Amino acid sequence: MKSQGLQAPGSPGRRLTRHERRAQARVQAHQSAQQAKHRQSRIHFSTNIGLVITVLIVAAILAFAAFRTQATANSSGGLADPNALNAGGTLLQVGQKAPNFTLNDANGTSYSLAAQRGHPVLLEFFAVWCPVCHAEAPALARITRAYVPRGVRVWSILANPYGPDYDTSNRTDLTLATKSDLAWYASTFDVHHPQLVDPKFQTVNTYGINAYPGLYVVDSKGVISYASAGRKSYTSLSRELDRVLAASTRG
Amino acid sequence: MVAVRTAWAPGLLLAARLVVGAIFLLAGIDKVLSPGGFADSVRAFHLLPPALVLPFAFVIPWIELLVAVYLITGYLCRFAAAGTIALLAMFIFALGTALVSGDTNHACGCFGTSGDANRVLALLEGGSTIGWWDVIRDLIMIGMTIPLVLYGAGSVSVDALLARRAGKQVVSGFAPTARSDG
Repeated sequence: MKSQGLQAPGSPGRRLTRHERRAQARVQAHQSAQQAKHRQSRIHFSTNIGLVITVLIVAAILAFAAFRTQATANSSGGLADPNALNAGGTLLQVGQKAPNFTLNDANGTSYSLAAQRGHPVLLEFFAVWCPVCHAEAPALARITRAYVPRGVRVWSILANPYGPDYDTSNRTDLTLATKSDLAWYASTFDVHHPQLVDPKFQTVNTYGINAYPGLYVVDSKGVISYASAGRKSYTSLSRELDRVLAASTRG
Repeated sequence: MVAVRTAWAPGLLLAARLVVGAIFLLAGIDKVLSPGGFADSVRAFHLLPPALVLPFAFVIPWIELLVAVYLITGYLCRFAAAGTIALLAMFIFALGTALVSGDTNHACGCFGTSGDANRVLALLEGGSTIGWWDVIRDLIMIGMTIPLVLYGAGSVSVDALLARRAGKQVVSGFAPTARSDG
């Protein structure tokens, strides 16, 4: 039996037998495996704790989202449902028949597009928070003063659910626009034409409003003669209204 | 499995984590601060039912922040990297759908509204309409994130620190979980 130069513990000078060496190797391997298992379990434990915390954070995020969504939808006095808005469409084409709609103003008075045959209609899709709409308001007020007496209808349609502070709050304040917000808008921006409410945004979505204000002119036959998004001058609007009024007189 | 060790590998893993993490952090912060603005961007894609837009706009920015913090610190890095890839794949799907359908005349919304104020984010955003750059940028970010899934966070990370404390040898290079000395 060849020795490997190892000595038996407690027996100085005696070399280990092959059997003893094997037994010792088995013990060492077992201890090493135990240590590795222990290290792995510690790593797994910290990973599992991390995963549990992550799952809890994600659950908290989901709960927060559900709460904020519900709180927004339940805002008291809101005129329109934010969960029905489907913005970003494509404006309807000039020359196509204007889809009919019947909408109420904040006081419950009903307005039907189909009932306006014989009268050109200028539609403005606006948001109470929209700075471009605010900038457009003087031109619209002028149009109202100049063209309503000549038979033109001017209607503004609330096309976004949020209140006046939506934009100034960096779109964090999701408080819904209320009846008093419409009154504030009318008095601040000299609005003397009907402001209609589209509570489920069916008309807004149908008309493909992708920016505020969305502007349409519907001629006296109910055909779209002008479609535009963004601010437009009094001159460009009045030119179009003059044209449809002239066509209406000819027709 | 044989480890692939290089001197520059830990630095690359760290750089990938920091770059992708920082981008997600900046984008997430802006979206968290402007959930309505992000919801407006999401609506413009017309991919989600309108009723799901707001919840989505509340959830995604926080998830972006979560993976960003995990990536930057190198904590649970493989999971965070996998989550990052899932988010980027979702964004690529939305962008690709818009590009294929031609519905590109709206902002990507990828970085909230920061693109207006932050030059780096403006560069990453690439413009006020959707273009192929948006897809390429997200693919590059996926390319940077895949090594993090394969090799972990590297030696400069919370994951490595925890492993060291647990007594496990920390691999400083491109080394998958198991390795041999061969």
